Formats: sequence, structure tokens, C-alpha cells
Amino acid sequence: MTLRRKLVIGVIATVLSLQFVIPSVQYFSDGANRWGWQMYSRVSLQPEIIAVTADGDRREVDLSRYVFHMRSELRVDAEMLDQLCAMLPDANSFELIHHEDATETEMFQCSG
Amino acid sequence: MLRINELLEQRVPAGPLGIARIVLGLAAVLKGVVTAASVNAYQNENVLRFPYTSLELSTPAGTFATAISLFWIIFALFFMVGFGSRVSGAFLSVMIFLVIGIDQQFYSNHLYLMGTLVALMTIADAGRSYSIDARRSGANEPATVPRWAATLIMLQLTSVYLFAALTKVNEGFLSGAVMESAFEPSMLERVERLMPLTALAPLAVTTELFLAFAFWHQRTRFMALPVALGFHALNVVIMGRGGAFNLSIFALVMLSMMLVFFTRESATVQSVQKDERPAGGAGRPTELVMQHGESG
Repeated sequence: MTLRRKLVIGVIATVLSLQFVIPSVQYFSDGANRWGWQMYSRVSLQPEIIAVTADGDRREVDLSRYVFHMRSELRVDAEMLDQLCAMLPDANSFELIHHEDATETEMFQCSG
Repeated sequence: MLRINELLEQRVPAGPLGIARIVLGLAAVLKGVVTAASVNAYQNENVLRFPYTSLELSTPAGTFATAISLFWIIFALFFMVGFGSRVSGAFLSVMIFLVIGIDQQFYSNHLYLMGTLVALMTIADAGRSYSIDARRSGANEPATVPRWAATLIMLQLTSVYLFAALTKVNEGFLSGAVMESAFEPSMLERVERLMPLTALAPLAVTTELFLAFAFWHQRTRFMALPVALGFHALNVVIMGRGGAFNLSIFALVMLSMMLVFFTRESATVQSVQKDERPAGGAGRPTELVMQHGESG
């Protein structure tokens, strides 16, 4: 087999993996996932974010003001909330309200 | 059944792939202009960062990010008109993946698809037809491209529609909840007057499944094209909500793949090694043989 033929077979195998193997793996993973052509397929499970100030005032955070594209694959995690703490200096903590099977609340304390 | 060797050896006319390159290039130019604006907005201090890794290194410096988006537009223009197609295509593909890599917010399925397709069309040498490159080369023989490379582009279309359909088979989508949140409110009302979302949702899944396979068959191919165009046009109109531009770009990218299927109607050009050499002779070089009609 010539080197060129081997290269072509390698390219075909790689592309087929990208086209069918990776989307199959992503299909069986939980939630919305990238690289798997999961367009408009699931209800967005992003939590509602409430900023709580030192004196107890609560206000909903409109995340669209702080992101330029909040995709459903993006996870609201500690790293992201740390950044939000810096952007909203009056916020002492954040309350995350998850509306999935049942409503669950989670608290995140700003470290500053 | 097409044998592997035939798939690897055969060449097909480059025309449809040349047109597909122009359509994809146009989509890349338009998307590049919008992406340059997004990259600029991303450099605003009040934007949350979603790097793929926790390393700050994954977020490039402003100048670097701006340069990527500018080179994207330049290479997309070259790719569209077919000027140095292989080089411009390779660089354009790299630029698209670099932008996707800046931050998770830059990922979108149509951007990922665009980057992949530009790479596949570059590998397939889509600049051999309807391009400045083709004019400059002044070749007398009809331009051809490897059949396996064109087939990979066709399989890409199947992959996109197939997984788009399969992932929609879940309670949230089939109940109509996803459509309810995605549709333009004024359109939602009109659509629901015509058909309940619980009926429209499985219809959307069925349409995507149909499109995943219909382009492969001669009988259904000419039906699949208007169905696909109508499907994507409806998506743009119904799901507008500021996303009309991106959905239009996605439609153009999908259209570029559809066009490649119409290669199969044309003459197949097979690279044939002449083994019937006269005894003791040096043998004849590879010849191109035109075969008319559908193959495979």
C-alpha cells in the first residue's frame, strides 16, 4: 500500500469518527453537548440566578447582560460565579434556583 | 455495491463541488464579518469568560483575537472566489477553529460545521472548478475531484441531519416545549393555529430523518432539495428572535453539502490503471475514462 493510500485511509477514518463516533458518544451523555449536532433538541436547564446583597436585598441577575452568547451547553459553575461576584461588587452571594424535575436551591458565597 | 478500491480510485466532475465552495465561502465571509464584531465585543471587561480549560492561556490577547477574525474574512473571500483555494481553505479552517477555541461562547454547531466543511472541501480540492485557480491553470481536460473526498462531504450532511433528529427524540422536544421557547412569539401563535406543537415536533424529527437519507437516492434527491430548502427557510422565519442571521448562514452551509449530491448525476470519471500491458512493454500511463450515468 502506498503512503498516499495510507494517508487517504487515515483521513477517511478520522473524518468518519468526527461524523459518527463523537456524535454517538455525545448522544448518550447527559444534557446538551457540543460536537454532536444537538440543535434545539432540549429544554434549557440553566438555573435562575438571584444576587443577594449584604443587607439581604435580592434581585434576579439578567445573565444576558454579562455574556454574549449563553448557550445551553455552558454550565453555571463556581468559576463563572466568581467572575460574576467581581462584576457585581454589591452582591454578597448568589442563589441558584434549578427548575428541573423539582425546584432546588443552591447558594454560592462570594469570596471577596 | 461500491467497492472500497473504486471509492479510493474514482474521480468525479469538480463542477458541483466548485459551486458548493462558492456557497460555503459566501457563508464564511458573512459569518466572518459578524464574528469579527463578536470577538471585539468579547474583549469588553464586563463579559463573562467561559474558557474550555481553567487556564487563562486559553483566552487569547485582544490583538491576536482581532487578527484571527480579520484573516478569517480575507481567507474566506479568497476561498469563495477560488484564489489559492487549498491554502486559503486550510487557513480559513484554522481561523474558524481558533475562534471556536477562544471561548465556549464562540462555539456553535454551524461554526463547527463550517470549519469542518471548509477543511473537507480543501482536501477535496474544491477550487478546481469555478475558480480563479481553474482559470489560471488553463487546463484543457475537465476538472475532477476524488470521489472519496466528495463522499465524505455527503456523509457530513447525513451525520448532521441524523443526529439532529435523534437528539430531538426526547420528552422535552416532542412535547413542543423546545419549540415554544425557540419560536418567535408572534409566529408561535400563528403556527399553533395551524397545527399543535405536539404534532409539529415529530414532523420536524421525521423531516430531518428523511433529509439524512433522501439525498443518497436518485428517486428522492429531487424531492429532498425543495423539502430541505423549505425546512431551513421556515426555521429562519419561525425561529427568528434575533437568530435569523445565524439560521440563514446555517442554511447556506447545509445547501453547500446538498449541491455535492448532484455530482452523482454527472459522468463519473474513473482513474483506470491499464494493467493490460503488452508483454515486455513499459505499459501506458494512467488514463481517464468517462462513464456516463449513475454509479454506486
